[in-house]
Amino acid sequence: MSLTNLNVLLADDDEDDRWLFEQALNDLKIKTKLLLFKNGKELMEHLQKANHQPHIVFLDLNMPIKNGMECLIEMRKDVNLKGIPVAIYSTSSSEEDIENTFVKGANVYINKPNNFEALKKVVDKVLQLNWQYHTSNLNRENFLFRI
Amino acid sequence: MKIYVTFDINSTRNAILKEQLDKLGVDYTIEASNEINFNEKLTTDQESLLAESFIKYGITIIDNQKSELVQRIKDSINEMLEDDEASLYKVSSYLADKLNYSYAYLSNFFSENTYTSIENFVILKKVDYAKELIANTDLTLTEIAYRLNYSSVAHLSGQFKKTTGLTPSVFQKIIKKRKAFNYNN
Amino acid sequence: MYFRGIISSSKSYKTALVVAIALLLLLSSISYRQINNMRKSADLVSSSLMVDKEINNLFSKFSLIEAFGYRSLILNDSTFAETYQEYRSQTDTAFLNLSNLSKDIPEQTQYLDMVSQWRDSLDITINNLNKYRGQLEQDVEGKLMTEVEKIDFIYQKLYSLKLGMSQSKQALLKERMIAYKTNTLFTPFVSMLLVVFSLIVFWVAFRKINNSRKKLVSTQAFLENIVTNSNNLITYFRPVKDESGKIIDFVFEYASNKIEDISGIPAKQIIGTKLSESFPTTMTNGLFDMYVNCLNTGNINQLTRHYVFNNETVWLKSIASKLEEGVNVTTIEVTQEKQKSEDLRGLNESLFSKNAILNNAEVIAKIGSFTKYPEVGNSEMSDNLYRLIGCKPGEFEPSFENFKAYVHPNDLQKFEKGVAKNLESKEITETNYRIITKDDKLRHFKSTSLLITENGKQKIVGVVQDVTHIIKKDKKLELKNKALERSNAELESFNRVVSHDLQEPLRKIQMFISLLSDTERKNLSEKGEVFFNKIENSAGRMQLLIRNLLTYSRIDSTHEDFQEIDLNKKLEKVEDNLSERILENNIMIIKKELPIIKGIPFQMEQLFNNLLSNAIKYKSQTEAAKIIIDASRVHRNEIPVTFKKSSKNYYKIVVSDNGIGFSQDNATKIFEIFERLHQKTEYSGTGIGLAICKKIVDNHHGFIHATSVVGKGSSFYIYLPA
Repeated sequence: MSLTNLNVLLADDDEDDRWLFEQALNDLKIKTKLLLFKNGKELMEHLQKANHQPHIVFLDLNMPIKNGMECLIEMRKDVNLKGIPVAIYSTSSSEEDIENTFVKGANVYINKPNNFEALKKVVDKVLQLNWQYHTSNLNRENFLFRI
Repeated sequence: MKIYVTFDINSTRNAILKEQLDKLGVDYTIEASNEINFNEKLTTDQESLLAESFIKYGITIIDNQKSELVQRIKDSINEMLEDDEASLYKVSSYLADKLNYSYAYLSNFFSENTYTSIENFVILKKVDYAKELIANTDLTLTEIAYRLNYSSVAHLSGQFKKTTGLTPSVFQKIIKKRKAFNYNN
Repeated sequence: MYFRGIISSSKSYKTALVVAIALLLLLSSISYRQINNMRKSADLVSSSLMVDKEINNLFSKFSLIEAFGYRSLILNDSTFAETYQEYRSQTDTAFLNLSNLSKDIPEQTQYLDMVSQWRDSLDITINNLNKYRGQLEQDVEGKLMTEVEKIDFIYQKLYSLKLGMSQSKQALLKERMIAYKTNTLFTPFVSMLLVVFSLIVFWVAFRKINNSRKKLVSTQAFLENIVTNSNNLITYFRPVKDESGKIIDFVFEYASNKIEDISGIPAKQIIGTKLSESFPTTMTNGLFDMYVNCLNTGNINQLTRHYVFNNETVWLKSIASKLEEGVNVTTIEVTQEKQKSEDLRGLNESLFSKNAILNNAEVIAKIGSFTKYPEVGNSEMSDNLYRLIGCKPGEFEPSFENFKAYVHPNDLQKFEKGVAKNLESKEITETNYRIITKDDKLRHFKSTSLLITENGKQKIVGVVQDVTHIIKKDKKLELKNKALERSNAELESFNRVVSHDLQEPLRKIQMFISLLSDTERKNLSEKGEVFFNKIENSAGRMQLLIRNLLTYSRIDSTHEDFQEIDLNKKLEKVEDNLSERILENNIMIIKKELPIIKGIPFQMEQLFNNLLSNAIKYKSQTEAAKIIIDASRVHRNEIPVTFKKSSKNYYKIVVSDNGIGFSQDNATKIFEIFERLHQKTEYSGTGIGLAICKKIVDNHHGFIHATSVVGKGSSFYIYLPA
């Protein structure tokens, strides 16, 4: 794996949030290739047929058609997708949601920040952590962060 | 039912390397934990195939000298954390002694090539170790703090929370539940 | 048994005595006879010896006569005749003695006859010889010689007779000696036997008498014991009569010690006194008359009367019976029995009044009761049960069938099922059904009944309650509950709206503000910059407000169950959560052991979190920050502040800091929602934190208050029920 072109996917039904996320990613030092999806269904369809697995998937919880939790559970049940790191990207700060997604196999839980700088920082940190987990012999079982 | 396992990193690593390298059908020798010697030069196809099969296990092929130094820094940090006596040193002097570069150079080099500082990496490593101990042993936080050379439980908890966004107890609760959930499915 | 042994022994005594006397007499007579025999045989032996002596005497005389005859012949002594005559009479005496002695022995008598004949012959010869003496002639000489020869011959005969007699006597003596010896041997033995037997009889008699005496002693002790230990008083009276023979008084002949227990006067003092003197009341209360009656008729009489001894009333029951010439009285204290029967009478009365109350209560509580005897088939119904179904008490025969007629047709099955279940089950059965009363009103009834077995008889006892009003209330309550559920659901969805839907656009506003701030701020005019700041601050405040409002609304006592909480663990968790800020601000936390309380875990966490956050937020700007957490258990009387203290003891938890503090005037205001004490710019927050704390403590039936000195620090006191 090279340091360039991290494959990043985001599923979020909110157009503004998708746009903001893209802007934040573009401002980062880390070179990424981002794919955006409007809901869980689109994301899953892409994952099933994709040739290359992404390095990380960002999932909004509240989405029409197929929500984030459903995607997470489906991915963790799929032998080919279960190893992909998942970062939950949600407005909900309820403890139940956080705990529940972690238990179901999420690696990172991000509360959507309310300023752009914070968003950039958060995404940067997640990508860095993901990078470390990929390259530094860290235990994936314990890949668990709340940011 | 649930079981817990521990494993020896070296033999696991060797077994995985052997399994994947054998698939290629070329002659090789594993020289060190991170060095593989091929008798002939690999084709591009073979190289990408190997990279592909390694990635599943989190193994990355480092193909240049720069990456090798990063790897050596990481390995030294690992060694330092696992060695009780080494933990008495400062990271900076330990790495400088070990790798024969000035710490300033190493620090700079590391940041440039990994997007993270050595200090952050050490913390990440330590927290990862702490996570390992919390998840897989019955050690109390006090014992873990002592083992990882933290001055107090509060210090460990603080750094843990700062790094992971979770308190050690919440982390432990989640890991337990996740294990139960996985075995139930 | 004890007595019986003694009585039965007297008969066997008599028999034994008679036998012993008979045996003694028999032995005595045998002994007497034996001694007699011995004496006789001794006599016989001595008489034999006498015979021997007399024989010798006789024959020595004969020898003397012979010798003397020869001498006088030779010497020609003229005195011979006289001397002979003397000897002759001597032989006669000896002969007489001898014949006397031997008259019982025929053989000796025979010999004596022969001796007598030969003596006569001798006598003749001697006389002849005497005649010839002095003549001294030839022929005389011849004749004399013949005579001498004759004498010799006689003498020879006599000697042979003597020999025979001696032999015969010797044989007899020998025989008698043997008999004597036998007698002497046998007599002491018999005597001995007599003595031994006498001793045995004596010993047995003594033993018997001694045993009887002992028995008598122990029997007496036993009786004495019964009398003294008996709870009953035993007395014996001797009547005192006047000249006409009429009984005028009684004298205590005996009184058991119990009398002291009852009357307080020792028995010794009472014995000998008159009844009229010692217990004058008895002369008039009928007791005296009863004694007299008892003596006159011989019947056993009894009488229960009360007496006053030492100011205490005692009930005594006296039973009198005639014994010989006096009256034997057993007196029993029956005070308790009397009291019990009094109590019982009282109980009966109160039962009666309770029954009346119950009847009343049934009417008021709209309750009826019934008893059913399933084996016999009959039933009882309380008056009010009739009234409950609109009938007059006793209007119809109380029976299950008759009652059933009033049950709502649609509920008949249910009703019968309940009755059937009641017969099978040992537990209380409850049946709900409707009734159509006689005046056509619909009522809801609830029967609670139980099958019990009393004295082997099965019986179902039950209570019937008119629950129409309860059912109506229940229905109302149900409606209200539904409304409440609806409003709760609404509240929940409101919460969701606030937490997500309302936060969502706000977050976006803030996001674009930040973008705008990053990119366009420098292009704004000074005024625009001010407006922009105002927008930014308001958005930030709004977000904080929403978040705190959510927390506040989540503090709700009705949803959560109280559980045991180790506050130490909760505090640790809170410290854990705040560890970053604690480290950053270098706060020293000193804590004491906290109690384990009953409460809602996340609320307790929130409480500590808010208090510690506050202490950190308002920490001293000049000194090293310190938070002290103290806990103790206090009695409600020790709590100086007033609030509704439902518990006896409280845990007092104090969180103190050395922070900037606040004016004591605001000590209550700070717990009010949205109350802010500090300048907005200086400290962040919405002012809900302490309001949340207050709500939490209220939820836990506790109390929170604060004291503070500006610049010195604040103390928050929390009281939670222990």
